[in-house]
Amino acid sequence: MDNSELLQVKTKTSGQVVFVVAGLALSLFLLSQIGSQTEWSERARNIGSQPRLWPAIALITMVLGFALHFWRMRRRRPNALDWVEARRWVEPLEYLVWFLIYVAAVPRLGFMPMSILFACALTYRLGYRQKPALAIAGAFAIAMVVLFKGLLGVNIPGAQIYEYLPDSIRTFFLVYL
Amino acid sequence: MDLILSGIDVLARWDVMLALLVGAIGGVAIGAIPGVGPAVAIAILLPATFSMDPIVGLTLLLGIYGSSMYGESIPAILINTPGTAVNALTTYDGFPMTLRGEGRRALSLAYSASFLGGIFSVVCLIFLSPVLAKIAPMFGSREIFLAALLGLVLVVVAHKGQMAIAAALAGFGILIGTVGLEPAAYTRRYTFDQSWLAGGFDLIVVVLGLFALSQAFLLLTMDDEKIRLPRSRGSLFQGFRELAKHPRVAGIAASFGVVMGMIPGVGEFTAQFMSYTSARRLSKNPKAFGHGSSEGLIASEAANNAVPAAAMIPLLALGIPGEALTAMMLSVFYV
Repeated sequence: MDNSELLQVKTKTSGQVVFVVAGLALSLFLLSQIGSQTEWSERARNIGSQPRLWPAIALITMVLGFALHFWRMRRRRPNALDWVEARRWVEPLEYLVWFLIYVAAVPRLGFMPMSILFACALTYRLGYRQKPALAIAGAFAIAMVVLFKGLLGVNIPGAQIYEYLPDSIRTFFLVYL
Repeated sequence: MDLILSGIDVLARWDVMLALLVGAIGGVAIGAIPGVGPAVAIAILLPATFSMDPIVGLTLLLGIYGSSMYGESIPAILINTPGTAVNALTTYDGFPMTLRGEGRRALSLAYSASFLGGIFSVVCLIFLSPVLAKIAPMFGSREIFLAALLGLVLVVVAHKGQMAIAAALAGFGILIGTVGLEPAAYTRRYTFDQSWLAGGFDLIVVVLGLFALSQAFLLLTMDDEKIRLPRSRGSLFQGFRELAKHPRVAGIAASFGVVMGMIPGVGEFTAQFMSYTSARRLSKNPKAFGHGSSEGLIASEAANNAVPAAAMIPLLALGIPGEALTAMMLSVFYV
C-alpha cells in the first residue's frame, strides 16, 4: 500500500494542519495590511458605511476561526501523511498553468486551433497516447468550439492571427473559429 | 391564477420547451457522472446562457438543477459512488439493494421519490412565493442584511464539530466580496495597486474557478476507476406503488426538503440528513436502515429533490440565493 492509499485508509484529516496553518498565516498577513489596503473615511455617515469595516470583520473572523481550529486540533505538528496530502493538493496546480497558457493563447492564436492543440496535448500528457485517444480529444475540441462559439454564440474574441488571412475567409474565422 | 396561466403560456414556447427537455435530460446525464454534478455543468453553461433569451437560459439551467439531483442517485445506487455529497445517504440503502440484485427497484424508488419531492416543492414555490413577494417590499437594506447574516450564521452552525473552520471560510468569502472599489466612499480595498482587481472578483469567474476548473483539475490527477455493474432485477415502474405504501415518510422528507431549501445556507445535505434520521426514528423497522431499506431511500431522495424549487423561493422573493447553485441563477437574472 503506497502513502496515498494509506492516507485514505488511516485518516480523513490528513493535511489539515498544513492548510490551517497556511490559512492562518495568510489571514494574519492580510490583516497586517489592512491599514494600507483599506481607508478609514472621515466622510462616512456611520460605522456601517466605513470602507474598512467589512474587510476587518472578515479578516478577524478568519484569524479567530483558523486559530481556534488549530488550537483545538489533537495533533498540531505535521507528519509525513500531512505532507503527502498537501502535495496531492499542489499537484493539480500544474493544470492551472496549462489552463493559463491556453487562456492567454486563445485571443492570439485562435479558439479552434488552441482548443485542438490543448485537448490533444493534455490527453497525451495524461498518458492516453494511442491515435484513437488523440483523435477523440481533437474531435471533442472541434465539437466544443462549434457548440460554444458557433451555436451558442459565447463571446470569445477573434484571434489576432486571423487578421493575416485573406479577406474572403477572415470574417468566417473571426466569427466562428 | 393569472400568473400560473402566464407561466404555462411561457412554457408552451418551443424554445423554452426545448431548453427544458435538454436541461432535464442533460441534468440526469451530468448528475450520473460521479464527481461532475450540476454545479460544474451550470458553471460551464453560464456564459453560454448570456447569449440566449433570458427565459430560455434560465429554463435550461433550472432543468439541469432540478433533474441532476435524481441523476446523482444513479451512481450512488449502482456503484456506491454518490455524484456529489448530496447523495451520500442514498448509497446507504440504494447500494445494498443493488447488491441484492434489486438495482432496478432501487432506481425506480429513487425516481418516484424524487418526482414526489420535486412536485411537492414546486407546489410550495407556487403558493409561498406570492406570500413572500408581498412581504418583500417591506424588506429594506437592514432586513436583507439580517437575512444574509442569518444565512452566514446557519452555514457556520450547520458544520457541527467544524464550526471554527467554517467561520474562517465564511470570513474568507466575505473578504473576497469586499475586494475592489467599494461603492460608498469609492476607495480601493485589497487591490494591492493592481488595476485588474479594482472591479473586484466577478461572480461568474469565481463560480467557474471554484466549481468547474477545480473539479477538472482534480479529475485530471485522479486514477481511472474500473467499474463493474452487478446484475439487476425488478421493474422500473414499481417505485410509485412502493412509494404509496410510505406516504408519511415521503411527506415528511419532502417537507424537510422545502424547509431546508428555503433557509439560506442550509441546502440538500442537511435536508437529506434530517429526513433520513427522522424516518429511521419513526420507522417500524429501523434496523433495516443502511441495509437496503426502501423507507431510507425514499427519505433521502424525496428530501434532496425538494430542495431546488424551495431554494428558488428566497431567491425570487427576496433576491437572496440560498446556496451556490441559486447564486449562479442570480447571475442570469442580473444579465
